[in-house]
Amino acid sequence: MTDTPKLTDAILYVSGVTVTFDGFRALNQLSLFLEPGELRAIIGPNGAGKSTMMDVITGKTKPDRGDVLLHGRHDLTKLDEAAIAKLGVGRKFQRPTVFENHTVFENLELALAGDRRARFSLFAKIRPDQKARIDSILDEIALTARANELAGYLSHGQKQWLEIGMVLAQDPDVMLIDEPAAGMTDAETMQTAAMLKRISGGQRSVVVVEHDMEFVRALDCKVTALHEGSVLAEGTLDTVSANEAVIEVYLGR
Amino acid sequence: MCQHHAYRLSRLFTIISLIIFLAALSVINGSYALATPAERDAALQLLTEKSSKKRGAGIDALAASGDPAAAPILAAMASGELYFQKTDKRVVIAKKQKDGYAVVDPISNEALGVLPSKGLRKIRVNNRLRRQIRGVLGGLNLSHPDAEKRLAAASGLQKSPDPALRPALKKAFAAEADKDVKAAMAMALAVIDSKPEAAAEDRLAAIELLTDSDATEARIILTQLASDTEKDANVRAAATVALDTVEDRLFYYQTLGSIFQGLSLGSVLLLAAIGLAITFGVMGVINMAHGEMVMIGAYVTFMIQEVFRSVAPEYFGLSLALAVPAAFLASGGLGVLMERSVIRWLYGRPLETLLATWGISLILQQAVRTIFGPTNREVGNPEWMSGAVELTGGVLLTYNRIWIIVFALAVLAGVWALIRFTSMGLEMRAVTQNRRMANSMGIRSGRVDALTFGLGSGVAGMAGVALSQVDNVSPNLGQAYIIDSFMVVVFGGVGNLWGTLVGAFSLGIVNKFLEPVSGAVLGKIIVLVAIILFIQKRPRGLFALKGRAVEN
Amino acid sequence: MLSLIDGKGRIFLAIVAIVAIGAVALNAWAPVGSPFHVPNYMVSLIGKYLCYALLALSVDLIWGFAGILSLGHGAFFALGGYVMGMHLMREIGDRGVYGNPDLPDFMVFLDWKELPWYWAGSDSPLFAIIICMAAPGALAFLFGWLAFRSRVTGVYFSIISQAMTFALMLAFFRNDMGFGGNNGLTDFKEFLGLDLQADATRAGLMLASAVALAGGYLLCRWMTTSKYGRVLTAVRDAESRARFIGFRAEHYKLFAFVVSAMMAGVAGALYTPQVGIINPSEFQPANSIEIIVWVAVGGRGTLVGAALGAVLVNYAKTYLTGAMPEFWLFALGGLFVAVTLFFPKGIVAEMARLREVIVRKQKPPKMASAEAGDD
Repeated sequence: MTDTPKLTDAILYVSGVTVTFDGFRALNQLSLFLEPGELRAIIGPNGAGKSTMMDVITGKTKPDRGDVLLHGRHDLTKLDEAAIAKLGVGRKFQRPTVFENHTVFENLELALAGDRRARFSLFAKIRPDQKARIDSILDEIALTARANELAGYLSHGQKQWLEIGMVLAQDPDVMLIDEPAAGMTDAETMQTAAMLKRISGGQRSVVVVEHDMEFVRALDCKVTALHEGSVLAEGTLDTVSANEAVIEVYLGR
Repeated sequence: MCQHHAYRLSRLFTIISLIIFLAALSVINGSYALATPAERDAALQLLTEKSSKKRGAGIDALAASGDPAAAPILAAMASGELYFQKTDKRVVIAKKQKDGYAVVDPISNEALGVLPSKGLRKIRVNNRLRRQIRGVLGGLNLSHPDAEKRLAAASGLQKSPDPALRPALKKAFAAEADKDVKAAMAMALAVIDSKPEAAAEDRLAAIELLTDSDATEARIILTQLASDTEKDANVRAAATVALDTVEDRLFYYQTLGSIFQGLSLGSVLLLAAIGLAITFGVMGVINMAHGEMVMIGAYVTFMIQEVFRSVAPEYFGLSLALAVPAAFLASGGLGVLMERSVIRWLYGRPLETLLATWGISLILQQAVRTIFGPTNREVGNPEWMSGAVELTGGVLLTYNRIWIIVFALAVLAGVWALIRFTSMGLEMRAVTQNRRMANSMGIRSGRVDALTFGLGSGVAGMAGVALSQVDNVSPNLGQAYIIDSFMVVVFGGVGNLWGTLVGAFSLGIVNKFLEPVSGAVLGKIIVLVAIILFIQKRPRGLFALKGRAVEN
Repeated sequence: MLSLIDGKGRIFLAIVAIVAIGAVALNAWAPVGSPFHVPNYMVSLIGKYLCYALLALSVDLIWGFAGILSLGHGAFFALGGYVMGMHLMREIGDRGVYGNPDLPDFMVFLDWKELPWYWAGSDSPLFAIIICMAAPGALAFLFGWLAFRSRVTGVYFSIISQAMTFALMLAFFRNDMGFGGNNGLTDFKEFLGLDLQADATRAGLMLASAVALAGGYLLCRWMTTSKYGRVLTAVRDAESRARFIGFRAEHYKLFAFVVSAMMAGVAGALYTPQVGIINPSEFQPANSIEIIVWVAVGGRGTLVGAALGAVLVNYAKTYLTGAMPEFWLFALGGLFVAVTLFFPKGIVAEMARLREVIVRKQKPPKMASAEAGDD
């Protein structure tokens, strides 16, 4: 929080972003810097601005003020969702959102990196290397056995995994994962944490928003605490949870 | 009838003139003072001439004589009952009987007995003379004691101006006390003076008078005077200035009229759209049968009026007062029924709701067609709703339209107050904002849904009462309004009564301003296209709610 | 991966071919009076139903697969019909009432001196064939581009598409538009020099409608079974998910919408010579909504079902409006309500479910057939 990294160091550079809805400040001068290959957990109470922050980064919401830069050169505030996705930002929603009338395999096929144009899609055929990539992702998210079932038939936790798999299939530089452990059993939660650590593996920048402190601890990474649309504290989980302000926000005054 | 009246009065004057000859007449009315028997008799002799030109001169002379007998003589001439005796050229009025002609002296009204046709010759009239007589008779009425007659005479002169009547008109104008009559006389005078034969200064005076008139004729004359056919440059210039003034004023009136018409159309749209703003805006239900709820309200009005007509025609004026609650209950009840039987199974599936309610609308239309027949039903305006007030410049505000504007605003205010201040409104808002939370707090959301839908439908029914006063009551009534109502709600912003108000009135006014420029149909098309384009810019309407809840 | 022509498609195409060819054969060769004879009016009626089926397919492509409920699709159908009507008017030539070789009668009647610019080229049959697709396609492109770009979706799209066809109806009612106003275009004589009243021409038009229906079906099949179709349904089910994956939902929707409008235009162009008239009432919003119920009855998102629904509902309409005209609107209205409440997936899906139940009774359960329940 104290040292401002140089623009070129940050793969994702969010600076001074403010968003208001009918007078309500969802984000207030929010700044966040993400390094290449970094795994980052974001915590904060309801209404702290976590989802709005993701909306801004992925182009769903345009900020009133502030900069959002990818790779230090792409101004994300000027682009729409599809363009940002193509630049290499993947996102998993808070509520698992998969294509329920498509099979698990098809969900991944659609998410797989490639030409997104309509005229290309009319003639697209799946290549062997793409098939292999999908298989490896299926393996990663533990859904190989259910590849040909409709995604709508999956359990809540499996949908979460499928969605993570879809984001992975996009092969993004930055992954934004919103509450991946919601509705999961303890075992599944730990499995998910391990999965995200593997996916990041120092190669890919992953931002995880989560409430579950056990899960955040399992991620074992730098933590940013948000409150009322701004960064309250940043550091290891232990330093953040020892922070006076954070304690006050979480435990009440 | 009018001539009969004039005739009796002229007899009265004859008697009076015998006693207090000059004084009395000059006090009551100037023009009769002109009368001298010699002038009159000379004029009568002209009427017996062969040449129609001379007879024409005789008509004018007779009129100018101001003799009280002039009017009945001319009237008789116009209807072909004026004759002269071949022997002494004495002019008489003769009515044909079995055995000859009943002859009367036109001046003394003395019966001269029945004469054979041999000794009489008819004084012929052609169309030109008939027209002249009409004008002249009009001129004579200029001094009639009855203001309405004078007004009619002055208006008649405007239409068929006769320079020969100018002196009489000027006198009458000077003596006139009634404002309206005086204005009409001024106009008639101006019309006569604006003729090229008149002196230039008379024409200039006429222009001044015409400047104050809103009549189309005034503009036509001014246009003529401003054109190259006018020789005098001063007159031309004055006429051009006057024309501008008149046109500016008329434009202002037209604008005023358009605004009123727009408000009136807007209030109709508002009434049709308020119910929709509730069902669509608050509940998110696309009710394609909304128009039929309006239609049913109109038919309820029809039925109630039928009952009044047969049972208590003297209280017919109260029929609407009863129709409003009755229509609310009928349409509202039907709405509750619809919600409980069909719509509640379709929440969260707006497209399916749209189709199902469309089906219901077809059924309702056909049901009404089967019961009441496909033709228009007669719905009357009670007396307190007929008639109009006139603003300046012929801008008519009809009472029924004024009442509908008032009614629409009252309904809007009522609905707003209901949602804002009552416990039902509170529950309604709670259910729309968070159904599960509302349920867990003990609000029976099913009941609230049914009542909300019933409210929207009931308001539509009340709209039907108002529409029955300005539109045809037929099974297609609802169809005519459904698209417009949706446009109002979508344009104004869904879920926002204020937006519905602004949307309805702005669409109404824009429509009425476009109409004179582009024609009614093209105007409507332009408005529709404009809304379609507007939705692209602001998909959530004019007064959209912003924020996370709406975004997701 | 689904093949282009699956079992259902094979049956469908076979039925279309048998009905079309069979009707023509029985019309020509079975002697009049024999129970196998197909009367002339029946040939035209079948042709009309085939056009409706193609129209239903076009609606199913966007409603069933892209989730776009257009309440103005009748406008594209009518536009195609008007384009064909324009050409047919020109083919009348100087045989009209006023005998003007260039101007259609209604223009002579309005005292017009020359053809309006947008009638240029309408004397060529190529005009009819190209513009009957290009005009609806262009309108769909314009309308769709504006709507999808600003993310006008769901009922909002439905409402403004209804306003679009309503505005067009008002416009075509005007004499000044140059499309015959109230009366529309009618009194056609020939197409491609062939007498429109002749049996052979009617049979030819009916066969052309059958070919167009089959072609439209294969086109829809190809689009919906390709990756494009999978993206389209993905957009339908979770538009924002598809956007965040990087698909431009508006492009996918727009393409389907334009193709659909062009198909509707072809249906209209084939419809006009077979019924002999095209007038502004074809633009009525009610007509467009009726198409939706054909698709809903047959089964949204099944293609075959849409075509089937079009034929069934129209057959019922022909029968009921003749037998009990009062009853028709009750029946149609009831159908809307019943289908949405009780058979939201339509006949085809219900049949598939029925078959599944029977099959399950006979054999041990297998994996659920996913293909029928496409929505």
